[in-house]
Amino acid sequence: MQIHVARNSAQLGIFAPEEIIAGLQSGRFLASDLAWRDGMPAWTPLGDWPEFRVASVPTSPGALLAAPVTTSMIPWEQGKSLGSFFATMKLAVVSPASLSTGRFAFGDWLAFCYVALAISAPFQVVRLAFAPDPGRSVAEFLQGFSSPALQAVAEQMLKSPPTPIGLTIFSTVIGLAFAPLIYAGCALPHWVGQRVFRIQVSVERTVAATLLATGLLIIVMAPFQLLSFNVGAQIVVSSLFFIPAMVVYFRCFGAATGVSPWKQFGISNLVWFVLCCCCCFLPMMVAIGLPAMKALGR
Amino acid sequence: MLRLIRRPAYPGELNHELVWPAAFLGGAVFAWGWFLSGLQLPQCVFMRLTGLPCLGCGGTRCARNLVHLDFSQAFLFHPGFFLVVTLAALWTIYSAVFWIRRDTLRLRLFIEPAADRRLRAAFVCVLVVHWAWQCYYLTR
Repeated sequence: MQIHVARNSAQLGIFAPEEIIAGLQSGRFLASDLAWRDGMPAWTPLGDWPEFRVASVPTSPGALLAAPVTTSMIPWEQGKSLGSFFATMKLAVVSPASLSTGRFAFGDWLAFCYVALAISAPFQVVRLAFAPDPGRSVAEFLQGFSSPALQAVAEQMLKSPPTPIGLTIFSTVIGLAFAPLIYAGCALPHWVGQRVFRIQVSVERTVAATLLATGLLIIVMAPFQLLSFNVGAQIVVSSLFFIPAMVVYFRCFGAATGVSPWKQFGISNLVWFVLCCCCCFLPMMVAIGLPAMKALGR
Repeated sequence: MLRLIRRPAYPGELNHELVWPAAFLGGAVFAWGWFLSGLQLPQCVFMRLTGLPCLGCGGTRCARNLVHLDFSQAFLFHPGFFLVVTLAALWTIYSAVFWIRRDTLRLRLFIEPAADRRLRAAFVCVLVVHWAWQCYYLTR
């Protein structure tokens, strides 16, 4: 009968009993690894399975304790408070390598992302006050350029009827309420990308790391909403700041998943280039940012 | 190669029966609000520069047709997005049944390690075929 084995919130696979005995003897499996097979009510440590005790598995409590237990150094995983939130932010920016010690349980980082959104909410209110219809503001900004391509984009954006303020507020509130779940959904294509490139990181860890890095990005980028009174300045400053923000994001995400930030950056770009139209983001930023900088220079 | 298994969740496992239906419903509400507002996405820069669609092209039109329950048109515009939405809807229905029945065994997809390479190759092939279809259908 096949046995399912899991360790640290990630499934290792399905194995035959002989493989597990060999694995326990070679050190591939630990007595503390959780296992389950058909008919069992719950997952049980391998050390508690009678058939594996014969295979010279360390079963004494002392031996079980000797199994490597990683203690998370992330303040948010040690206790939830505003202080630990900002301490985690600081850690992620200053010393992202420490994130590799995290457990990355989904619930912890979902809460983290909601806290980040709650902190960014006043900035969103400012944006709503200055630019209740952001699409129109951007379109009017683009109209100021002589580029036919940008003019076409502006015309297309202006074709849409003005959004009622009630709908804008409603969509902002709904957006804030569901945003972390949508970010979690966005982590799935990234996980698929990791699998394509043979990088074995569990879905749980990929999703939790995405929520952590996105929460960080939300806080870092939130103050730029204060520039909503001038869409041009907001786009230019945000574009310029976007590169260092991406550096922070991928250092954090790479450390949290235990993969090189460059690899994660490459996968992210490729996944979004292949699976989605976000490849348009960079050229669009260049197309808008360069003429805008030239205009500012004049 | 790919197996569907039923087993209890292990400690710390992501609650797939709760998270993904919530993400799907959240995304659906967001999309509904987006289409209601009449906001337009700017034309794809890749399409503008090369004349060919990117793999995301047609996704918005697919979603718009899904909102209007025109499933055949939605499928033709972006089969991949249509499939993802269909699977997400089916998962949401399964999750609802799971919670109503207060089940303890959860449905999980298991990829056998030996099949990993073949699956990766199949995935890339599907993307190429999908793009070929988009090049044909979206540039007619």
